[in-house]
Amino acid sequence: MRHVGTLLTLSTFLFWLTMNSLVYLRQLEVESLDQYRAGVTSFLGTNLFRERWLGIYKKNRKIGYSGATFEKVFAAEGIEMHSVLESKMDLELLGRAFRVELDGTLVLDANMKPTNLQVDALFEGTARLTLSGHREGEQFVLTVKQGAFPIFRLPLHLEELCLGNGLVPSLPVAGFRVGDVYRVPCFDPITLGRGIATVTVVSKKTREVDGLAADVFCLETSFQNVQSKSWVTGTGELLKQELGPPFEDVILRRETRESARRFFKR
Amino acid sequence: MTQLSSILKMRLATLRNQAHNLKKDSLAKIFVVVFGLTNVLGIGYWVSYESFKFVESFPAFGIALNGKMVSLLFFALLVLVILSTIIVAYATVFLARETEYLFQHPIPPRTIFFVKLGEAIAFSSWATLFLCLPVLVAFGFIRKAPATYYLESAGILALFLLFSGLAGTSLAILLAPAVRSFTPRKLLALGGCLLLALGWIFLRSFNFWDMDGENNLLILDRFTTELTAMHSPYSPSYWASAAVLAAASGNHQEALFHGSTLLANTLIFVPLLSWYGIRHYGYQWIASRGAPAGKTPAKGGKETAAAKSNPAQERARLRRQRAISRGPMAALISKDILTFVRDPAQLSQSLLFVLLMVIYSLSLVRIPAYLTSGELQLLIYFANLGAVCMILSSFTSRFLFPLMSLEGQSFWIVGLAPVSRSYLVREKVLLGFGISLILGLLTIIISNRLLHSPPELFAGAVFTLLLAGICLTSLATGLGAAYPLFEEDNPARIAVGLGGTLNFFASAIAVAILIVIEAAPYLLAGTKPGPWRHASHLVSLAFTAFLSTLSLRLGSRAMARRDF
Repeated sequence: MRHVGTLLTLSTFLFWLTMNSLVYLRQLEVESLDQYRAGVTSFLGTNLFRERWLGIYKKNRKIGYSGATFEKVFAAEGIEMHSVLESKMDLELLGRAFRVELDGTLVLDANMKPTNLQVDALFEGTARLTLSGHREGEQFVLTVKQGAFPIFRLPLHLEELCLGNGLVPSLPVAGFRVGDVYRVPCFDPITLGRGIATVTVVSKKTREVDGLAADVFCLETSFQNVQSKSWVTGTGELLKQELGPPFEDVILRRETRESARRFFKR
Repeated sequence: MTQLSSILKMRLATLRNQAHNLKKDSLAKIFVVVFGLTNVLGIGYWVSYESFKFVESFPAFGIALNGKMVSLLFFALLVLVILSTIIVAYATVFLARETEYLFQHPIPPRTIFFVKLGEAIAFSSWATLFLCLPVLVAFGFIRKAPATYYLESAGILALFLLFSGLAGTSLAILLAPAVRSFTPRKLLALGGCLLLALGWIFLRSFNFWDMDGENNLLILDRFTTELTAMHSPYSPSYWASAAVLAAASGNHQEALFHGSTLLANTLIFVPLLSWYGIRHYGYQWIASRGAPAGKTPAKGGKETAAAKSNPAQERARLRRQRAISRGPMAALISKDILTFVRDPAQLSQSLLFVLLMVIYSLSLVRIPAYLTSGELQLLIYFANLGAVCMILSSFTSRFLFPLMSLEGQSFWIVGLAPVSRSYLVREKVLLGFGISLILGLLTIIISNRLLHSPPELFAGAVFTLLLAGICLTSLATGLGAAYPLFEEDNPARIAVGLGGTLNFFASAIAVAILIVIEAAPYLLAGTKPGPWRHASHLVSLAFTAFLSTLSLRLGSRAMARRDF
């Protein structure tokens, strides 16, 4: 009993030292992150879940929607980021209209490297493809199947990966500064193409959003020879995307999940 | 531990005795207080919920902005609670009469220090806890937070207030030797400079002068984004807000991490303050008893000595003295002013109060043009009138209500003066009315100028403020005399006692009635009420006369019946 006070004092100091060291180490870790991972950390903040829903318009006519959710999951293997993609759109190719539907999940580890991928791509009246990916050693192996038949197998170098929506990849990042450049490997489930998406923060302007003035960043994205312009708030809320040729008449606008999906409930 | 339990038992016995001594009128008083507090909680929740809902209705930035507003709340609380605890802790730990009483007993200084420290923190933060809980509950409802959020956020808020209180006390004991070495004038000048510097940094941080009034949410967004101290991972307000935001989104791991960081940094004060309590508190308390504020001889003293050697100067001095103290009223008023000025806690808190009025007036400088014209003008006019009257009511509740109680154990000295006790009550009313009139008139004139009120509304505002000043002063003085706490020497504690709380709610109701009477013609007859406006002024005047007579009579009778 005589030493209880001393022990309590010691444990208080130890607790204080531990917690403040943890705060300091965590800050060091955040500062050492590369730009993309720092942007993703800023995008999620203290939240576990965020989502983005965009209506796709061509000459002011809604032709589809694209939605993505980002969820931080505390799995047995460590922290994971589950990204779910849902995208439906009417496209026109060589004068023939057809609908494309994408549904999939990409699981990333704490370093934003993929651990698992599962995407169903439906090209109405043409094909139904299943894309799956898993890790094999230091590689991420992608398999594309039509029905039960494998079409091809593509081993990729294990690095950060972002899933595109068939039009333009939108990175889940926030905390922008004008002049920042993000270079992230992306995979497009429609063209089955993989490349580096380069996103440059071009300017910061005050624009009217929801009837009120707000500070908005203009981002220029270059992916698979398609240029696009995006307007994003400082916290990563994607407001609008304008695509370059050959999709120059296509615009994506922020919508709620319900209003984005409403188009296809017919 | 034995001494500590004895002090705690003493506190419990006091509370029990107070509960046993409740009379019928006290039950009515408790009912009014409980009813008022419930209303404050309800209104606090409703206002917060509607504000969060409004901001969240802008989906592009509303959700993020609400999160930033919670961070801003914790940042503001950190500054305010630390400032208020510095003042309260210094007065409670070093100057309170009860501390002297406890030192006369065989109680170790550390125990006395922790008892007074607990009191200081409780007094400086209970109202904050009470007012901020509905805000966090409203935030949880808006975010559809899980049930555990409410428990987590309440715990985080309590812990955060404890941290701020302990930090404020630590600053108070660090500053105590410096405070003792300064003269009141130097101390005031230093405090003024500090406040001015803080005010300048605050206003500059969000380009206040560039605001055009139309883009207030944009300005708020920029301000909360660019305030680096608020987002620093080493800032206690960041730990608290991050824990609350994480709890709201169900991220318990993150909430636990930030909560534990806050807890560790709160607990560290315990051994440090305990060491101070053992090694230094006793000496510091003795030093605070022996050190008069200002070691240089008083100016008047110098004058007196010089004058005594010169009969012409002595006659001139006496003439000046007579000129300012004709009759008992002037003597009593100058005594009250001197007592007030000599109390550093009272003086510093009144300065904070004046600062609040300045900030309120400044906030109207860039009011949007569409709010000062058309139908909205009347709404803003009455809202401003209500706000100024409410600020005035806080002033009377905090500074005028305790005036009679502060006569304390030495009331018999004033009681021996050849004046009736009702005269004493009237003297306090006159003093209070003079001060509150100066503050209230300045604020109402400046605010109405900034709101571009037309002449008839301007005159109406000045008239209503005069009546509100009379009502509030009479209520505070009357109820202060009816429910005095002569055994208490801490004005903050007197103001938050049962009588003080009753006065606060009675004042709020009186202000509400006055505003409703003044607004009635506009509500019933539209923007051009014609002669009805004069009728409402007459009704307000009658209400003021009735209320002030009633409360003064109540106070005077209670004082006349009291034995000393």
